[in-house]
Amino acid sequence: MNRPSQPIPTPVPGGGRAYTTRERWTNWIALGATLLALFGGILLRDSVISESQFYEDPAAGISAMRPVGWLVDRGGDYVFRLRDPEARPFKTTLQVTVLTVGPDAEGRNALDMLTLRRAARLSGYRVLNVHDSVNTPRGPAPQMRYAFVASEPDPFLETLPAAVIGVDVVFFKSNQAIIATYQAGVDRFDAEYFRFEQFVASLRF
Amino acid sequence: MALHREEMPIQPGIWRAGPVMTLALAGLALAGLLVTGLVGLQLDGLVLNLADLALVVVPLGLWWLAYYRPAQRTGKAVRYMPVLILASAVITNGLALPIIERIYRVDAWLVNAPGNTRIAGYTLIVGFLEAYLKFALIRYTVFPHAMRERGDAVAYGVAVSLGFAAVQSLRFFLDGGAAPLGPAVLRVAETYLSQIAFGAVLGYFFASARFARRAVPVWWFALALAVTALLNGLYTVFRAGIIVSGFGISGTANSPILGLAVATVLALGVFFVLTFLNGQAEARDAATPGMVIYR
Repeated sequence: MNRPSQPIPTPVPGGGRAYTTRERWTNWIALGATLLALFGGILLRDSVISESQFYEDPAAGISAMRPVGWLVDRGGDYVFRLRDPEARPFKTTLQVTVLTVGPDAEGRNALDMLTLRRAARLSGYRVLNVHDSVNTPRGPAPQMRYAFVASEPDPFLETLPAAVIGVDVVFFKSNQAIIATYQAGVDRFDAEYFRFEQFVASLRF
Repeated sequence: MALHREEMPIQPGIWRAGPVMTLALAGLALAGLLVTGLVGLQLDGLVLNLADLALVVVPLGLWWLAYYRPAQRTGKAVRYMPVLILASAVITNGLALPIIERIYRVDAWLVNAPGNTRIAGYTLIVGFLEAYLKFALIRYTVFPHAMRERGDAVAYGVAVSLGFAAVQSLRFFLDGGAAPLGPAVLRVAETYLSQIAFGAVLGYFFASARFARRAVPVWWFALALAVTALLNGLYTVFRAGIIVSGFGISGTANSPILGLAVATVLALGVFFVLTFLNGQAEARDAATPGMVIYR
């Protein structure tokens, strides 16, 4: 164990010489295994991030896939709201709201109603753009982008206000406007937009 | 009075220096924790920064005392080792950590994943990446010509891991700010001990390849990477589970000392197993003398 190892009887090949074919294969296989593992890591990451569960609101007859670990809230003027508890400073939100509209209502009417509601309630609310028809995973639909400043209501938490970007997409079903909403902090908005696309694609009503 | 080389005791090598360093590091961490706890030592400002920096350097000093200096004194110092430590530190800072933290962002999605997913994630991403960079550093510099005995390969594995651990510890302070001495001691000790264990395992695969009497399979080093990476993944996940010492309605309580214990047991266990395997291999070598050539 602690005795000297066997002396090497001959000069050891390898120092400064070219690799043999076998050695090259050994090196390449080690590199290949690593690249394969790292590729597997990417697949694993994507599957974990996009992992979702079925959620249904029987009263409203609306269902969707919700990201695993997100909290469900049904206590507001919406059908349900999903929030990422780990997002800071603003909890990334997916939300479904239902508005009753007339038979001739257009998407812009529903969006204007939302704007009126939010302008009175959200600090620094500003509509960024409105499109009458954009491509969504459920087909063409009116869309509105807006921004506002979210402040922590508890003054003892001493948090800075956060700039938030939101998106609404409107779908119609008889005399109902079903609005899917995505809100996220400016720094997370683009990175997590795929969740909104998955959410909209999974919406059933 | 200086001894002549012939009179010097045989250098105990990595098989003794590894466990000695492990125990010394764990002992120092415990002592540091005890002193800061009993005395209530509260450092801040520049003094705390310097103390944190000293914590990063102490394990390297221990390595020099336990392995490198005795090896130098007996004329058995392995070549390029300080350069390899430095090179591994540079690669860790410039390649390994940016890939793990900025490209894969494992802290954002893996930490709260289920246990099996975490083991797979840490193995595939952190484990394989770190293992391959260490492998490449050794494979394309000192292997096989600078390895004169099996222990040299393990020592090289540990050395490159020290560079990894040094940068990981340093980045802990640079990214998160100066940490109080107690938690900082534990964090640094755990990082070094776990990395030493991973490096020793990888090094042993090099030893087996270097001193094999017939050519090792072409997948030998891929197996080395897989074993090292899996050990890394298992350690990361089980350590995180074991340090949770209590559950309550309002949350969980952590016991960082359990983390130190896990890292110490891991490093000691690895050296115990490798020492046993080395003894077996040397016994086989002695029983069947012949030329040893890496192919």
